[in-house]
Amino acid sequence: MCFMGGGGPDPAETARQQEIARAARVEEGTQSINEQFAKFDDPFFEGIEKSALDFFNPQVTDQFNSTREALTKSLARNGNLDGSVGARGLGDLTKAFTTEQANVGEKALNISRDARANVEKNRANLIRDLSGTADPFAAANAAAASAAALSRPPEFSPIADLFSKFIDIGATQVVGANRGFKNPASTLFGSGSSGSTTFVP
Amino acid sequence: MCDPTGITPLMISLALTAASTALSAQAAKKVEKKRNNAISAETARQDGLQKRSIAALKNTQEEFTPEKQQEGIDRAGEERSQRLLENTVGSTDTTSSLTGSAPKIVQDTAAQQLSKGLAEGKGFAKRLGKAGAFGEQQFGNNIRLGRLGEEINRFGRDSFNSAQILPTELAGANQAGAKLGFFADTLGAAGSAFNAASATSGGGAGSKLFAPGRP
Repeated sequence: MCFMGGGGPDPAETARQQEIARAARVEEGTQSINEQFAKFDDPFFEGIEKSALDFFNPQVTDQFNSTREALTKSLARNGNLDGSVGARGLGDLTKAFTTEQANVGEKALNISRDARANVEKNRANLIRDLSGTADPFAAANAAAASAAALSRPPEFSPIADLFSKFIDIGATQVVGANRGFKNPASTLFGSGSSGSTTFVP
Repeated sequence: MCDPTGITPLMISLALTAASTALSAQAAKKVEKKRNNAISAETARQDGLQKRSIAALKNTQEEFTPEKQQEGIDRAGEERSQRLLENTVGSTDTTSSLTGSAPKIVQDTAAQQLSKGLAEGKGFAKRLGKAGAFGEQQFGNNIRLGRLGEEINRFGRDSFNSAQILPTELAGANQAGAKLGFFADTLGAAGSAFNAASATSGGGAGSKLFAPGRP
């Protein structure tokens, strides 16, 4: 029989040890999560960006090439290919092509950034759950599952039509020019020049 | 001549009372020491956690000066512009569009138009890159602040949990003097008993001080 109850465990000491152990488990779980997520570094997200570019760029180029071909044919049909209308139309198309390449570049950057935000959100959720449970094993398992899911290659949607308006614009310019409307592009060549055979008045 | 039967209980009573007082003081001292130790240890723990929180905050705050933020925006603008420019290869191929019979002036002008289009597209890429710089910096800021929040939350939780244990530790400290206090109380009770005994025996000169019916 113990005297005045002094033989049992000290509740304060027990509570203190439990708290130390809890903090250590949280630390251990945090390390597990960070180890699982260490693969999501800059090269990983640059890889996503590159994948997006590899997916989108050929589509932009293909659309540009077919539009240029159609525009060229349209201009040639009307005898404007070697004139100012043709030069302007093709110049505008080139500008649009470069602009769309920039847009696609930004789209790829955004996809990469969204992926980074998603990874960060998942990591933060795991840390938050760990803080509540202080269970490093559950945290490690959840982190492994989450990291595996996040490592899957992203899916992209094909880009919409970008340049077909140029074919219409080209046709409209030609029709307008043939009907006597002044085209700003007509000032591209000096008036009275004898060089161009298809000079737009 | 003294009456030993009266003096002895009184002396014993005094001795026991003195011992009781001494033990009580010792018990109180022990309690105080334990309480002080618990409070000091908790204060040190809280201080440590607070210092780590402040260090984490300072570390992040260093990135949030106007100069650093502007540097970040500028850097993000440059990097984004560079990336977008790298993707704007354009096309300066004029030969596939013009017929071979096109006069030189047409060929030159067409080439000029294509170069112009390419230059304008590249200018757009550069501006687009810079336009997204602030958002990019904010994105980085959000990640940094999120992680700082995580750290500070962890320190806050540790601090709260630790502080929650202190009352239990103080209660335990109070119990540390209980054994000595019990002995002190026992000795005090015994002293009172001997004092009462010396008073009722009516023997010694001292005892008469406590004798009932004394004028």
